[in-house]
Amino acid sequence: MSPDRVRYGPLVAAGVLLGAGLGGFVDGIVLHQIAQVHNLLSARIPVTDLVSAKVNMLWDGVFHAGVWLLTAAGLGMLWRAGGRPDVPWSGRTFVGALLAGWGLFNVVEGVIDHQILGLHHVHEYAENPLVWDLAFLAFGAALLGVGWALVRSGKGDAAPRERMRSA
Amino acid sequence: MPVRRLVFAVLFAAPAAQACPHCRIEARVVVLDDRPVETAALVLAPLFVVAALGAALYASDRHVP
Repeated sequence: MSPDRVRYGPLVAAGVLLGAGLGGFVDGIVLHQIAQVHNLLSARIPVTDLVSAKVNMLWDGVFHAGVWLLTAAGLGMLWRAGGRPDVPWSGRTFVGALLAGWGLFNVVEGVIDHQILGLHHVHEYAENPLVWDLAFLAFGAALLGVGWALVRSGKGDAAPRERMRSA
Repeated sequence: MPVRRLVFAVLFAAPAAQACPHCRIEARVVVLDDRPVETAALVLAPLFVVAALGAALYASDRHVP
C-alpha cells in the first residue's frame, strides 16, 4: 500500500474526540467536584448558598452529559477506524490525538466560556482569576502542541493490512 | 512552526476576547433570565465546536480503497 493511500484522519479524529471527552471528565471530576471550582455558571450565579450550588450543579450535569456524548462519538469513530484497512493502527498517532483533543477542549472551552462569554473562570474565588484562566489556556496549548508533535511522529507507521502482508 | 504560532495566537487572543462586552452581557441576560434552552446552548457551545472540528477531520479523510 502506497503511503499516499494511508489515511490518518479517522484515527486522529477519533482520538481528538475521545481526548476532548476524557479531558472534559478530568475537568469535571478534579475541578468541579473535588476542588469545587470552575462550575459552569459561577461567574453569573456565584456559589454562595445551597440554591446557587444546585443551579451550578444542574448546568455542570448538562455539560457533562454533552461530554459523555462526545466520548461516545469518539468511541464510535475509533470502532469504524479500526475496521478500515487503510487506517494505520498507530499508538503514537492515537495517543498524540488524545492529548491534542484534551488540549483542544481546554483551549476552546477557555476562550469561549472564560474569555468571550464570561460564564465562569477556572478559580472564581482567587484574587486574580485571569491568571488561572491563562494557566488553563497555556496547559491546553501545551497539550495541543505535544499531541500534534506525536501525531506527526506517527506519520510513518504502516496501515494494518500492510503490516499483515509483511509478516 | 505552525503549532507554536497557534499557541501564541491563543494566549494573546484570550485576554483580547474579553473586550467583547456585548457577548458577555447577552450571556449574563440569558443566564439570569433563566432561559433554559439558550443557557444550554451557551453551556454546550465549546462541545459543539470540538465536535464540529472532529467531524470535519473525519469527513476530510473518509476514502476507503
